[in-house]
Amino acid sequence: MTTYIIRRLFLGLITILLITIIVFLVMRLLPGDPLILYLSAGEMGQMTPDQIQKLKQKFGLDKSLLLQYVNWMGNALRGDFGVSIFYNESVVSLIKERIPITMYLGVAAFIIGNFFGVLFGVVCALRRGKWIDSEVTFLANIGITIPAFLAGIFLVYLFSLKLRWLPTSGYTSPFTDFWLNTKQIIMPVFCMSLFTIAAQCRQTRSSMLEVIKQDYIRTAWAKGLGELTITFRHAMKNALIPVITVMGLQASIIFGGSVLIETVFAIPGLGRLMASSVLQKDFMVVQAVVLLVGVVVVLANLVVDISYGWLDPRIRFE
Amino acid sequence: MSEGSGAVSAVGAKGISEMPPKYSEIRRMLSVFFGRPLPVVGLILVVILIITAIFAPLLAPYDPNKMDMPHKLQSPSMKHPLGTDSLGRDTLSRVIYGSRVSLMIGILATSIAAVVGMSMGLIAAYFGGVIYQFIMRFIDALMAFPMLMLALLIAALLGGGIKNVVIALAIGMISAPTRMMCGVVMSGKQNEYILAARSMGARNLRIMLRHILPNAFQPLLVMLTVGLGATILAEAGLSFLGVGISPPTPAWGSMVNDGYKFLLSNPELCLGPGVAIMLVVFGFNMVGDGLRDALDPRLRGVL
Repeated sequence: MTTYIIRRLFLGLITILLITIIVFLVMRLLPGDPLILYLSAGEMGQMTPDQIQKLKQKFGLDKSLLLQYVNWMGNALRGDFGVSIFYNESVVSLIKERIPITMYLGVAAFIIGNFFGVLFGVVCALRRGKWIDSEVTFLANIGITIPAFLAGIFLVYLFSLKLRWLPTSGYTSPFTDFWLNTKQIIMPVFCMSLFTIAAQCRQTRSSMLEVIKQDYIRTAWAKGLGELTITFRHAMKNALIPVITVMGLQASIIFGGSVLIETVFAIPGLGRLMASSVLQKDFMVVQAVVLLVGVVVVLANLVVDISYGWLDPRIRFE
Repeated sequence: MSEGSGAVSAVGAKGISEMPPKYSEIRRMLSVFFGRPLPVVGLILVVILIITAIFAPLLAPYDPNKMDMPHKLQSPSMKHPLGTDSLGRDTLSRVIYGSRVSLMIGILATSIAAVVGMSMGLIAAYFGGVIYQFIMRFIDALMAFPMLMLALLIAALLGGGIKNVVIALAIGMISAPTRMMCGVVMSGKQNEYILAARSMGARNLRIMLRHILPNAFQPLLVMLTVGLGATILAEAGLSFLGVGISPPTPAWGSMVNDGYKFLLSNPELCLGPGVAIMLVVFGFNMVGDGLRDALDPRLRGVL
């Protein structure tokens, strides 16, 4: 197990290193002056070539690409991601303010999505072919294709504008006004968890159906165990292994979805920061958010990989 | 005599079951695909999309870009079934023309991603070693970025417009075809018929093209359909955020964004293109699901 963990950690580190290289190269090599990282287009337009040259020297943009990367990486490791052009504030403090909000919504969506997804999947598998199975499977098939941000817009139309039950948008800290916060996050969290519910329902159903066919489950029935014991103590343990892999994909889906969902619901989180910074050409912020999300996704997958190896010893020796 | 013919027919039947004629395989796939309602519904939606995109000028009642300020923000009527937008343009015509943008970007981005990704996967798996490690670790790193964020970053740096959105989406999509092709070749390489072909003196290129590549056909078909849905959705997302297709061109995502401000007074402005996106994404996903079940007998009845 230790070798397995060390190997996974090593691979994870390499992936993170590659992520930094990709982000760095994308920012430097795509068309456009790399100075746009530090200056707005308006500021750059007013400068003479001589001034621009001086600034390039100041930011180290006249050095070789490798040296630039080493410098950039060194700053990143010290937690220095530069200053936002638009907010004129350090990128790290901008991100620090917004991360808790995105994490709060994301974790809520993760828990709700996986809980209900697995629950529905188990129910479907146990009642295979009955009406509840066909209805839920049908809904899951549709749910997996519904774009979260469109679902958000439809829900806003129905529950906020027509029925006037919930606020259209905005975010209040749960510590300030818990009830208002709950009303504000119901729709965004539901939209973010929609895909997880549908995907986990399908995954759980199919892996449960695989497991309950096996001999040891028949043995458990023959011993006279109850349905609940068999389902939760015997079948679930094995059926959940592929379900956990799907959990690993959630981090990426939740972060990616947050860009759209937080824009629809005007939630001041990481995703909305990314979306607005892209429009403001505030590339220091964009670069830092993309880098951060990439690293978090790798770490999430690392956790999944390690728990996978712990749950299924066969994996460790592959 | 009866015993003898029985034995013969038994052998015959066995022979048939081991080596079924080709047409029955296709017929079986068709019956699996058309045997359930959802793939059929999906196929109908996809066909409607394609017909709409091709015949947009005939189907649209108005010019999608013709402004008519006195008649802006009209509610649905016989003249304008989906009303008009804030510049007085007919929403139905814009939704109809929007199918062209969606389909074109989807097809271009998916096929570029498929060609480049599959070549990378082929190279990685066939040569193995350092090349494999380099390409696949790179793909792993690329996969850590949510597709929309990666496309958003690239589209933001390149600027909007159809060409740049296609590039951004193709890069965002590239990991799936690479991994698919890599998997196909890795498992294909171990087959004994490859060894046999090699022993007969077949060269690398011939083995790849004639003996390994055909195995990729079925997963490719599934990947392309599902990928088309995913790129169309991602394009809508980019346009919704304002970095995709720039305003005068009718694109569903930017129409949803424009209409969002008027959700209370003119809901059809936002919901019209929104429903179009949903139906198209749903259609491609269901066709992809149906194809997967039809082509891969192992998955039948499981999902």
